Amino acid sequence: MEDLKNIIEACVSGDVCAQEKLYNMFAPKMYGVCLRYAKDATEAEDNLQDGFFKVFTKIKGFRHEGSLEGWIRRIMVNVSLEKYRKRNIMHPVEDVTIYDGQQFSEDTLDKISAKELIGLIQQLPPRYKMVFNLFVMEGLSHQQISEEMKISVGTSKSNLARARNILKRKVRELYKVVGTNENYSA
Amino acid sequence: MNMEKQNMDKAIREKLEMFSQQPPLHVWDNIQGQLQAQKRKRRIVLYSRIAAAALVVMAFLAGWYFNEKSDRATPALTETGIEQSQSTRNTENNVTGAGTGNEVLTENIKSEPIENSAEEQKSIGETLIQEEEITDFTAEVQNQQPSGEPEIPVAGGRNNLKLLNKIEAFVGKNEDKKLHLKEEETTPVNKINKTDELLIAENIRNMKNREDDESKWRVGIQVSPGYSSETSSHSEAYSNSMAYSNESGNINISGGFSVQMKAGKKWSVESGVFYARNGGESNGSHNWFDGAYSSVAPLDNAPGRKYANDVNISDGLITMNSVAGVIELSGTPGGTEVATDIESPASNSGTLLTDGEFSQVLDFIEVPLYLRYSILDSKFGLEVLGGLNAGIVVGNKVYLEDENVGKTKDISTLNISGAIGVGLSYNLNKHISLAVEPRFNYYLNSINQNPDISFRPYRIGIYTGLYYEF
Repeated sequence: MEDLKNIIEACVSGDVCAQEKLYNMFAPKMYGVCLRYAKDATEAEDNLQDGFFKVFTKIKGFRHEGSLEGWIRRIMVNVSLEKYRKRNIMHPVEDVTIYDGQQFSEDTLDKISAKELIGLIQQLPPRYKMVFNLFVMEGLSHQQISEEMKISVGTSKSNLARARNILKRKVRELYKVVGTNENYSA
Repeated sequence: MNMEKQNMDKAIREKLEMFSQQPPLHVWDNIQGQLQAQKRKRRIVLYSRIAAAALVVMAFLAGWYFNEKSDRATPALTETGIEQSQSTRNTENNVTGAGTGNEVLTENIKSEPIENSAEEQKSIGETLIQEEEITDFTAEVQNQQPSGEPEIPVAGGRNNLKLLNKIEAFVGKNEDKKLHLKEEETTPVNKINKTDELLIAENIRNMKNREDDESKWRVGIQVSPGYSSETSSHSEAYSNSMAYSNESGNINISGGFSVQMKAGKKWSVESGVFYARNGGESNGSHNWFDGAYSSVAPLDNAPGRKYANDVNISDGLITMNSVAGVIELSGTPGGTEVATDIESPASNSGTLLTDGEFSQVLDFIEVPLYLRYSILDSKFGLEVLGGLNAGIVVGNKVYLEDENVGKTKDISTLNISGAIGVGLSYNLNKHISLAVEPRFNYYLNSINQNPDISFRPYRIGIYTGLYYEF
C-alpha cells in the first residue's frame, strides 16, 4: 500500500516509469470496465486511453480518501458516459418489444463466460447498455442514473427492464436453452 | 420476479466484477504520446507568457532609458548650479542696487527660465547662465511625480493547470446542449426520424463551433476616427511667456493592423502596428481683437496681424513657448511680422504677428501590447482589453494654418502609453468577423523632455475593422 502511495506521488511529478507501473496495475481491469460500456473493442481501447490520460493529468487532485481503483474506475465510467453522450445522441434507441421470458436461473448464466457476456452487453442498444451498466455494475440508483444521463426515472427503469430482457434472450439464443424457441416468433 | 431480477443482476455482477483483460500494447503508447503532447503545449503557453512579460518589461525599460538619457544631459552642473543660485541672486540685487540697466534686468528676470534665453542672460553676467540649470533642476524636482505602474492583469500560472478543467467545462457545455435534445429522444419511436435530423444538424453545428474555438491566431486591420487631446502643465516661468492655450482637442483618423494570439480559452495577447496622430493641434495665440488685448490692439485691422505671439529671437532663430513644448521656427513664416521690444533693445523677446494660429502636430507609430479577455464568444463577441503602447514619434511639425513652419523641441522619440478598451465583434463566418472597439489611450509620461513642460496626449478612438481568424 505504501508502495502505491509512492507510485502516486511519482506520477504527480510526471515520472513516466511510475505512470507505466500504475497503468500495468490497473489497465487490465479497467479495460474490462471499458469493454462493458463500449460497442466494441476499438471503442473500449479509446476510452481506456482517454481515461488513463485523465488519470495522469488529474492524479494531483486524488485525495487518498477512497480507493485509487474506485477513483480510476469512476473516471473510466465518466469517460464512457461522455462518449455515449457525444456519440449516441443521433442514434435512436431501437424499439424492442418487451419480452417476458421464462424463469431465468443462475445456472443459465453459469454456462456463459465473462467474455461472452460482455460481448452480449456490448450488443445492447447504447442507452440500455448505459443504464444496465450503471445500475447493475456501478450500483447507481434509478434516481442517480436519471440525473447522470438526463433521462427520467421511468425511462431508466424501463430501459433497465428491456436491457435485462434482451440479455436473457441473447443468452438463451447462445445456449439454446430448452423451451425458449416458441417464445419469440416475432 | 423481483427476486429473479436480483439474482440475475447479482450473477452478472459476480461474473463481470473480477473480469480483466490485457489491453493492446498500443494503448499505452498512445497515452504516453498524449501526455508528451500536453507537456509540449504547456511549455509553449509558458514560453509565450514569459515572452509577453519580457516585452512589457522591455517596453518599460526602453521608455525609462530614453527619458533618463535626456534628463542626464547636464547632471554635473546641477550641484554647482545650486551654489551659483545664491550668488546669482546677490548679483541681481547688486546690479539692481547700482541702478545700471534696470529695465534690461527686469526683462531678464521675467524670462530667465526660458531655455533659449541663455544668450540674453550672458549680457548680465556669467553667473546668470547657471540660472538655466537651476530652473531645470528645481523643475525636475517638482516634476518628480510618483510613477504609478499600471497594473496589468496577467493570467495566473495556475491557469496552466486549469487547462484540463477548462476543456472539461467546455465539453460539459456541449453535452448540456446535447442532453437537452436528448430528452426529445424519449418521444415515440415513429417520430424519431425527424428528431434525428435535428440532432444531426445540431451535432454538425457543435462540431463547427468546436473547430472555431480551436483557432489560435487572429489578424485584423482597423481604422479609427478619434478625438485626441492632451493634459498638460507647465512651470510658472514657462507659462508666463507661453502662447495662450485654448481648446486644443481635435478629430482625426488613425489605423493599423493587429495580431492576436490566444493564450488560453479566455485570454489573448495582442500586438501590431498603428499610426496615430496624437496630441493634436495646440492652438493658441493672443488674439489682438479679443478681450484683454483689444485695448492695445493696432488700430488698423490689417491682414497678417490678427494674432500676437510672444517669441524669443536669438542667433537668427525664432522660438516660442507653446503647449506641447518650445516651437522652433525654421524661419520667419511668410506673411508675418516680427516686433521687438523697442524699449529694451538688449532683450531678445519680441512679438510675432500672424494672421493665423500655430498648431503643433505629432505623428506616432504605436506598437501595442494588450491583453484581451473574452467575456462573450459566440456570434457576437465581447472582450475587454488593456495594456501598453510603445509610441514612436515619427512626425513632429508645427503648422501656421496649413504651412509647415518648424518643429517642437525636446520631444521624446519613444513614449509609453496605457490603453483600455472594449471590443465588440460580429462573426460573419468561421474566419472573418467585424469589430468595433472603443479604446482610450493615454501617455503615461510627458512626451516632452523639457522639465518645464508636462505634456501628455490622450486619444479616444473607435477602432473599426475586420478580423481574420485561423
